[in-house]
Amino acid sequence: MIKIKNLEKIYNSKTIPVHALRGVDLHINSGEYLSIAGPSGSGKTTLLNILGGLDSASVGSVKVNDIEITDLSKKELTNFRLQNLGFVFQSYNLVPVLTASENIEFVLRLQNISKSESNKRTAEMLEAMGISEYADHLPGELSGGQQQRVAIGRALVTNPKLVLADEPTANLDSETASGLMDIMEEMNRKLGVTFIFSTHDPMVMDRAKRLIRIVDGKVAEDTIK
Amino acid sequence: MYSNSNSSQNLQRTHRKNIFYSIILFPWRMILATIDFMIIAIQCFNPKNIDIMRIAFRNLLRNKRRTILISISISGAIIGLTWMSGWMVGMIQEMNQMVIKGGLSHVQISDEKYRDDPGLQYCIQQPSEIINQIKDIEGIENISPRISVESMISSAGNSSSILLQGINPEIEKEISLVGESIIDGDLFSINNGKYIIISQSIASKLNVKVGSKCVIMGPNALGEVEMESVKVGGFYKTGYADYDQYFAFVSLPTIQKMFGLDDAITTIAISVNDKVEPTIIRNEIRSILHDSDTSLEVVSWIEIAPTMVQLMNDMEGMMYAFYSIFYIAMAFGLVNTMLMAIFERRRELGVLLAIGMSPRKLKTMIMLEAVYITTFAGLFGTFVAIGLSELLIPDGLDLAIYAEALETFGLSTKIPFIYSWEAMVIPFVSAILFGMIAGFFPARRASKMNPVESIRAI
Repeated sequence: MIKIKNLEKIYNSKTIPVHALRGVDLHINSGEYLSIAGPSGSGKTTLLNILGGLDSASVGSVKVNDIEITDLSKKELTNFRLQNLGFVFQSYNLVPVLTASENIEFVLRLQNISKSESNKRTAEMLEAMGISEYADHLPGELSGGQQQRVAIGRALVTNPKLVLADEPTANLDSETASGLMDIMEEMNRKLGVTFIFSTHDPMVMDRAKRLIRIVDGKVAEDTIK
Repeated sequence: MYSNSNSSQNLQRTHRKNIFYSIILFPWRMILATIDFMIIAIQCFNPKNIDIMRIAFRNLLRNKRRTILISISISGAIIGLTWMSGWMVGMIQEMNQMVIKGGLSHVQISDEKYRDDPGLQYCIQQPSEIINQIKDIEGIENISPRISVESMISSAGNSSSILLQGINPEIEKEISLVGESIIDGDLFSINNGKYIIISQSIASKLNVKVGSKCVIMGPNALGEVEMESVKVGGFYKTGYADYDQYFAFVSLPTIQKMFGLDDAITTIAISVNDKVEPTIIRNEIRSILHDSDTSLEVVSWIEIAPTMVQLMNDMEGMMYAFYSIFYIAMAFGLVNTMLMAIFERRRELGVLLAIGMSPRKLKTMIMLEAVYITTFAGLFGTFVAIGLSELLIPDGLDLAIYAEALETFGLSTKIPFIYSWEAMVIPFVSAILFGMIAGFFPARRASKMNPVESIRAI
């Protein structure tokens, strides 16, 4: 489903270049549940950003479901992200003025899905995340774990093909983190959504079915468990 | 390896090229920005963006102190502008009233030579024929035949120069200032014979009261002085010093008999409906009378008093100039506030772009915040301005201490606050428009953010 070929990312190419990625080749199948690990500055977040259409490649090709995302315009990338991807961030990054249910519903409304359909899908997702009773709470009134559940719900409610999670458990205690990983594993099993984690967390690395290590912008290890 | 001088020269070259292209592309960029602004402005009112509207509204409540402060400053500007334009419109209307009701009327018909040499030798001989031809024109409210003669009035103690007007009081009370300004006696007393209506200031000068005898004298068509003894039938006071010191009124038959005029008159004064342009009526009268009597001149007050028209236009222009200054100052304040708000929220805005919100929707959201601030502040400011005006100065602004200066502009000493659409709607709508313009630049900036860099922002 994801084919990465000779991917390179060079920052500040006209002055002093920084090679964040140096020729990454990867093949990721649909429904995989994998983590990308590596030391700080190894290029894992850059790889995730390029996969998510948030950053551009300097050299190489990235195909997601046969769509060459390196050829897409800015507008097309925005639409691509909306229709195909879900994001989970380290700091949850919910809209602080929207309630939990409104945060989840918001992405459906961006897709111009009707109000009634949005409400239905939002309620189902809140139920799946185990936070129905907090539907009308603002993010500031939720714990870290609850906020991250809302963020996962937001990422999954659009039925994306791919969820990119950048250090999703970094700000959580181990018990909460484990609970969240349970939910994401369940979603991976039930919905067949591909999950890619960028992480330092050994627990996340252990629970992933495939581990890719990036060192100095290159794939140093690719292990299927 | 790069040498320092090489890279420095390259940088300078790149910088100069960038400036060059910026200048060349500037007009094109402005056109694109204007189109973008119009698209976003329309999106702000698109009901499909209800979710964006909700977020925009709630964003205003995130930092209540900042929202309140900027709203107060905008409200203050709106209060000042609404007041200023209310008084300005009031002043312009007063000037208009003075000019039209103070003798010129909306349209005048006279002999073609009369305006250049106003004397009884240039009279309209058969006014009733002309009045019959024009009385059915739609838009005409009143037609008043008049005779005006530069005269003198004398009492036992003193004398004064006046413009003696022969009028029909039934008609004249509807179209001129004297009808609404009688303070003693009765305007209709002039129908009873040789009575005259004078101003209180002339009466004081002559030291006369109602019932006192005076002598009026003026030149007839041949330039010979005619005299008549009259009684004071009443006093008027308009508050317009120029008018009060000059105009005196007798009945048409009295003045016609005094100067041997039969049915002749000097002018036909015509008042028109508020909704009709005087120049349209003028043109219609001209076309009707053109074939029957080419010795007549038909003019509107605009042609008779071009200086006044220019003055009113200048005042209006001044009003709009003040608007511009206020709004530019307001826009700068709003831009600054919006930029601060965007800077604080850049991570959140980056996330919104990352999860698939289009740059257009992001721009719409930010511009909506500016629209809401200016709308609420504008509404509040407009109501406060009107409320304060009703509470503190319900009878108008009393400028008696500036009476002498105001005379020059033909203004009375009381300036009413006029609740016209210019006074209320223009400041309010303009504030929203400037708010949209002010919100557009930060919005554009936000939409161009790199989501990756924004998400990393602390």
